[in-house]
Amino acid sequence: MEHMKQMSHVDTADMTQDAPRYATASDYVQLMKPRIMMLVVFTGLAGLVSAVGVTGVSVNPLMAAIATLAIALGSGAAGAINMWYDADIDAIMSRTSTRPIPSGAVPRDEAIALGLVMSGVSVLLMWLASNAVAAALLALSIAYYGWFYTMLLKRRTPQNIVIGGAAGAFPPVIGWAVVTGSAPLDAWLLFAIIFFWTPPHFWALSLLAHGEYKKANVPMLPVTHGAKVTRNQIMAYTLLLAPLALAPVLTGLGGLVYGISAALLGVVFVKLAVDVWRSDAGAVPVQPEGAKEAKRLFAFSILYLFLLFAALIIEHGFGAYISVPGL
Amino acid sequence: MSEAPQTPPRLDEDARQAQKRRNWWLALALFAFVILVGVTTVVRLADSELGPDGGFYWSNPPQSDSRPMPDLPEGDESQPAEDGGDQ
Repeated sequence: MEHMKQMSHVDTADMTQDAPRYATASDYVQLMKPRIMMLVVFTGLAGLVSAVGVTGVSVNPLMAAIATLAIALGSGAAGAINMWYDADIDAIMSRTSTRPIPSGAVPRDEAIALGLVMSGVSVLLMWLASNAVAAALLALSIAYYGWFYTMLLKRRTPQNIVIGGAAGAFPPVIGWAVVTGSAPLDAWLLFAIIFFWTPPHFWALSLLAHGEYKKANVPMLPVTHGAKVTRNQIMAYTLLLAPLALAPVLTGLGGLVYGISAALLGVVFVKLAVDVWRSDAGAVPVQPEGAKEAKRLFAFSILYLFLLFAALIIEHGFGAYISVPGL
Repeated sequence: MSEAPQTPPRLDEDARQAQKRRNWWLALALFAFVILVGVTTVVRLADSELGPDGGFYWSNPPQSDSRPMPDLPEGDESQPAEDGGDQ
């Protein structure tokens, strides 16, 4: 992997286009990976609202809003650090070549400066608006994604997104800690759901883009172990995820709305994973039918997580919690 | 032996406009940060009880073993204090 490490420090001047392109505000927003930020904020908010519903502890709405903003800024900071480090491989892959750094809009130095300053600002704001535990968890999640996943795992192991998936799983725990100043079992259950959701979500995408990852020498599972192993792994993690998503019902975190949602969504997720498992997704040359199945699973996985956490928000934020009979 | 002072590279009009836009965004972000910190501080102070066992900035631990202050001896209130008084 030595050659990959060397690649990471090439001068991005080589990547820039001939015509100068000056950064707009939109480029800096793109640097913060806004789509990931939205999911992070949503799951963080779900953790926060659930904590209020479960514990009965009230939190000042303005402080909750500022804490949520801090989670968003922290996510953006980690995204900027990731784009700074990965600028070389982003330039190689067509999916990412239009990002602000490889397109020449934002210099690498500015990206890392933005990432570091925003990291500090987000943790400080979180501390001011809530407590030290939430701030420490936010700092840990930024370091986990920006340093541990991006700089250590991503270019070294095909298990990169499995271990690195924890970074995206922190937000509900942080949201919970904003309210209670602690992270009990229920918060870690939400963490576990996102942790086990990440591999099937990301590997579905990598089945579609494995050629790109290969070109950039990123050891994603389909590149190192092939499409069949990846499809098996997607199936295995989905079979773990579906019942795990029902665990909040057992602890009382999830009520009837959540339980029914988790069960139905789980059935659909497993069905789509079976379709991918039985398909030739990720095969070379690309098989349109297999690619379609992988694309469908990838799209549904985003909807799955959104609806699952929306069910928690509806139950605890809008008074729709009905305990499951017999539990 | 002193080196010739380096002149900054000249920016064309587009580059200058882009730089100006960035500066405005930066100023706005800094201003927003200051406002956020200010609002947070005010709200936390307003929410805190300012008591010995709670409070945001007044977080002295409760002193369970503290004894009540003894009553001061009664003095002659008609006479002004020797070393007191408002100056």
